[in-house]
Amino acid sequence: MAVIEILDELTQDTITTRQRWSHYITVALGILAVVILINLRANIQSAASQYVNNAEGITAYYPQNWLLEESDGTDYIFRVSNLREIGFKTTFQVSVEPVNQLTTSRTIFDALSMQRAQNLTAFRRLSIEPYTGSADFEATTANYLYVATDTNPFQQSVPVVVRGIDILTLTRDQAVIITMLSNADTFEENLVLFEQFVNRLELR
Amino acid sequence: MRPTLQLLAMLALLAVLSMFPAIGSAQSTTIESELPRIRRATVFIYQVQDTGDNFFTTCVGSGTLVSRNGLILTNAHTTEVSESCPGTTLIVALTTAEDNPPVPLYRAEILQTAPGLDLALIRINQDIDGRRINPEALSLPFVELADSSQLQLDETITVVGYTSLGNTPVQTLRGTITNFTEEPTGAKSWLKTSVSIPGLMTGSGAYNGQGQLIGVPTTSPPDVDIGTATCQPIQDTNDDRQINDNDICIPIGGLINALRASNFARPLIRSASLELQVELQSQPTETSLPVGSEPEISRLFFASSVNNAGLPTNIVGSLPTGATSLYLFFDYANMTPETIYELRVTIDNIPSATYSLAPVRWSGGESGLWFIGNSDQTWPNGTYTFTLFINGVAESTAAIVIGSAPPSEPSVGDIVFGLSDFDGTPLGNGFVLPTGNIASARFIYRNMNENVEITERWFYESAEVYRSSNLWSVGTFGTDGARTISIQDANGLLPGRYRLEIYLDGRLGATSDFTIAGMPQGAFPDVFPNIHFTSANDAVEAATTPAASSFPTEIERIFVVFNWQQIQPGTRWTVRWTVDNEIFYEQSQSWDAATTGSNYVITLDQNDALPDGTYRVEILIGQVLLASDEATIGIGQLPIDRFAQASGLQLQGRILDVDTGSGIPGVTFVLISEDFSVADFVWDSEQIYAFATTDRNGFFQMERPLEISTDAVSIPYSVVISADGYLPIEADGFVVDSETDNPLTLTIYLTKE
Repeated sequence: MAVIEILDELTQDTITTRQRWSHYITVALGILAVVILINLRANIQSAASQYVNNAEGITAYYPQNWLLEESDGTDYIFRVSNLREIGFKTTFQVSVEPVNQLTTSRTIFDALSMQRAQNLTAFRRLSIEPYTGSADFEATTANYLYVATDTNPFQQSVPVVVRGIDILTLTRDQAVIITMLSNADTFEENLVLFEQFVNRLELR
Repeated sequence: MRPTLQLLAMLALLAVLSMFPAIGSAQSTTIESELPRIRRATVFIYQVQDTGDNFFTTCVGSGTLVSRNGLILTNAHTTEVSESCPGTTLIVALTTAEDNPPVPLYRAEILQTAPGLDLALIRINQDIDGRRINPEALSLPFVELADSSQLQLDETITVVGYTSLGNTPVQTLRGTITNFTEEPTGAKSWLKTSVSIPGLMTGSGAYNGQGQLIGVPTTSPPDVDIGTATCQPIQDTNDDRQINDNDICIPIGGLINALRASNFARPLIRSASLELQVELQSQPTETSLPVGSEPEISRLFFASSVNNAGLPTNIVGSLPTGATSLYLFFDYANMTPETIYELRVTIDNIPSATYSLAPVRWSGGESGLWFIGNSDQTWPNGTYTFTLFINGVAESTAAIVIGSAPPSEPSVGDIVFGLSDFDGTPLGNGFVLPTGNIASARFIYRNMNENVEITERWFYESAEVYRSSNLWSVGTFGTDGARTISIQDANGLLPGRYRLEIYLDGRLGATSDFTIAGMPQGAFPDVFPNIHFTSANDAVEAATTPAASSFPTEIERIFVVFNWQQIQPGTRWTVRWTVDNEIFYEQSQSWDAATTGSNYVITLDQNDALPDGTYRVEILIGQVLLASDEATIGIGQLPIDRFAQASGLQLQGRILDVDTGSGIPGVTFVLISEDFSVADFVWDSEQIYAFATTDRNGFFQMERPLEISTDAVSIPYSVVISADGYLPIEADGFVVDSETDNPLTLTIYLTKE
């Protein structure tokens, strides 16, 4: 919103104090409205739905209006996807793997890489590094990418380069793997949402 | 302007959806409405040799998807490795665009085969580039199986398959069912059709009026050596820069007019979809005949009916006008599933396609008594000549006249066996008798004359053990009635296979077989006592763990344990498993353990966990049920597969940008199940019936067919189309009924925010 005034010499000379204050207030209200709208948009964007899984000891807050799927198998505990997104749907996922005293983050990431290399086209692991986010647990991250294709053979879909990140934290008897998959082109902007997701994740 | 456009877009979608109200006649799927889905579910299968840097096609055939996750029903002979089909890799091609040839997209593995029935179930497991596929991620169109026992003569059928070496689109042929061929495997073992099906359509599908699979067009494995087929080289496989007879020649086959009934495929599909594995203590082994053993056919005769044990009730040399059933019986030996058998029938020297059976694989085991024929249809008058061919060579011929006067010559038939002790006390009757001292045979006789020579010949394990001839005395027995004859052994009759032949004046008048096995228990043989289910860590431990009739959910394996007594090695026995009354395993083999013993163990296994259900095991000899037991896992009922429905309305369409008119890629069309409205929808996957995402041109196809509303049941879906940068579209009350076009194609416009 903007206020545009076109004043000539004559009218400027005749403006009153009341009119001047009126202009100031109008401009101030306009700025206030913009601030409120920005704040409202931020609130909408950060609005979250809650997911609770008492059996696995997980509480999570995920972006509102993302599709929630709970696994009936062993692949993952739950995952959420942004179906509104055009193209590849950004997905956050939480899964657990059993571990023992000999298990390290490296062994789990290696196993994941070998498994993914068989299932995903052009899978490449990019890096493994310590987690530097603000969540209050120690973790390791793995970055990777692959090419995703539509499973419907009757449609002409263009493959998409997907970038993924795993955050792996080891507890006493299991490894929790928090994953984000995103179109490589929008990875950085989705990473912000993912960090919010990870920060609010409660593991008991 | 923008709110106006949004309103217009929503009104447009509502207008489109409201064109399909839930009114109209009762729902009825037709072959016409189902054909698009059937065509997409029909696949072309290449069996190829992987040379490392190239694929050479070795065999081809059609197949049909029977589950959304990539199970394909086809022939065994085009997929299994054999001399005529030596390839080791299976490539699956689909018709991805209407009127286009199939496109190779996947690799597949063989899951189950029934070589004699010539059926195979293969599963898509890799992308064409070798990348492994999670079958559960697939959502492919598939077809449902009909109950082929319910088919009627003259019913119209549609055959869908590929008629060339992958160069042409999927083809559709129409015709009728002209005959049913009955064999010991079932009353409708083969469906005969008026359709002349090209040999390359072997393994494809034939459908009834509701679009359900009724049979698999099946021919024998083409074998140039025996002249049953031709072949075509299409690749330079020897790298000599020429394509000629020196290259791999792909068998093509002749015309097919026989369909293997779909009910034979049900156990394969059921066990594969549930991933159930049955392991016998001694697995049936491949038939290993002595070197030089050639298949043999002998003792051809005709019968006008067959009893429940699959044995002839009489032997006829002619039949009167209006005869409605006829069976050709014959003995066979040294047969294997790879043996090709064929029946050619002429009526007054004119070949009859209706009664003939084109070359097919043998499904009857190594040796025994077989029959082929049919009932419940009138056989026209004429002189019928039946010639049996084995591996392309005429082996034996028999002829019968239909249309003669009713028989007035002496006849015998309807043999039933019984066992009695020396006091004449009956110990059992039927075709499986317990061990005892005397075996009796009761038979019916008609039109007997004085001094007709009647000869009884008893055989044990193919060797004659007793013969007796007498002249008939009308004064003693009359001309019509029933009579009992017997053999006895003071030391007890040995367990094993017996046969009785009754001759009248040197002519075979009646014959039947019976088996002696087990100990007498009242009137019945007790062959497999103490059959029970149990759970254990392994088969050895299962022999000692207590019996149980219910097991917890997610148990990985269960066992069936039984003892056995007085069963002759070599006796053919059958194990049958059902889950929720549907057969998923049936295997016949020769008994290869000792005559008597304990703790025979059968394992039922699944890689993950056995699904909940009611499981039943049955042990049979010669179609006679001798032992059974039942147990439940979990709630005792199979989990409901919400994707099991194949038929319904196919929803597809295109999503366009209202400003540019071009398709929007990557937009998701969400169909909410009938239990929820848009207002109830909280983006939980449990609330979604199905969804689809648009391709690069904005086209989408719903992965799951929509259920069609009827007068009695209305199924209102809700729709949400929501994409970043566009105004969402939401609508309730989307109903499709029998009047709705199928497939239903929608065009939807989205307005930018």
